[in-house]
Amino acid sequence: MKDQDLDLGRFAEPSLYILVSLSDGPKHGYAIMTDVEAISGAPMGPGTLYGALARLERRGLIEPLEAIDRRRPYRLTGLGQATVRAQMERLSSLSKTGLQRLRETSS
Amino acid sequence: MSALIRLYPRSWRARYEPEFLDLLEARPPSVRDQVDIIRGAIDARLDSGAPRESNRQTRIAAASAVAAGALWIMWLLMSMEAFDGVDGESVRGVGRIVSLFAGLAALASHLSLGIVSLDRMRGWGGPASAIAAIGFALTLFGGGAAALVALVGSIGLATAVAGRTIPTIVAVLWVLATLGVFAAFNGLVRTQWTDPTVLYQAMPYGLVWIFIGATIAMRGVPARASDGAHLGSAG
Repeated sequence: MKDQDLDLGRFAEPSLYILVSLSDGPKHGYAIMTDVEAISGAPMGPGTLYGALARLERRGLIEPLEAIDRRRPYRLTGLGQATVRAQMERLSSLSKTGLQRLRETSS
Repeated sequence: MSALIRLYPRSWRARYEPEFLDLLEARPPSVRDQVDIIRGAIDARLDSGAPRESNRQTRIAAASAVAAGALWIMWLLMSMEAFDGVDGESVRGVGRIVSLFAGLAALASHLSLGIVSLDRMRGWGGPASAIAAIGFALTLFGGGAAALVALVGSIGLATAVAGRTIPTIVAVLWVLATLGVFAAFNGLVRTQWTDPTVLYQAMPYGLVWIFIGATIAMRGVPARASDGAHLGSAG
């Protein structure tokens, strides 16, 4: 993923996974981490997770909810939902184009 | 584990420490995770909190700064080599060539940083950038007065971008390294160009510019007010 897609430098790809993870409802840090690892198939370190969470929160894409004990859930904002939808549509379009071209090449 | 968390800035810990500790208790960090936490702490210390952006302009500025720093160090080392076994007028000739390349490197690095920071720095940044550029351009033709103009402009630019385009500590190192450059060239004049070892004082200047370039490459620069509020733009 290019930097300018999410404009988050090295946090762009982890941020997108986090947004996808939160798209089915609020989750706290540990739940996001395990969900992202299940989605991506790759481990996400705690430093990367919280670096991305801080950036997404500052940009108004996610918001913290009231903490339960020490666990603080996060949820998508309206802007976050619109952003993740736009990103998924863009990736879907890219995927369709790529697969179509592969089919044309192999046939 | 608390030792690793203490690497984060106080403001970050005030906001995230309880949930971060909870996460680490739920999944004790591996060695790889610990490296990731240290990297995250460095990032949190470098990240001012303001939205930042990275684009072709910032990448060119970063590359220019790194190249200028490397060029500076390369020519200092080569000039020190060149001084050995040479004396009299030839030494002055070598000194002029060194000054020429050092001046060009400084000019390129100041211009790149000035351009990328133009709409993100304090009010005096624009004039300071121009003064530095004129000063360094004039030093290509020699003269202590030109060097003084470059020094004033350079320090002005450093203070204008401090805490914005680059972290304040980097700007402080920049000013100190700039003073080192002038001390080095003053030493050369004082020793009648016979003691090239004084040029070591100018070495940190090249290192600082490499660090400035790496900082811009890693962090980007503060986003303009109009495009800091969203993430979805594709370029």
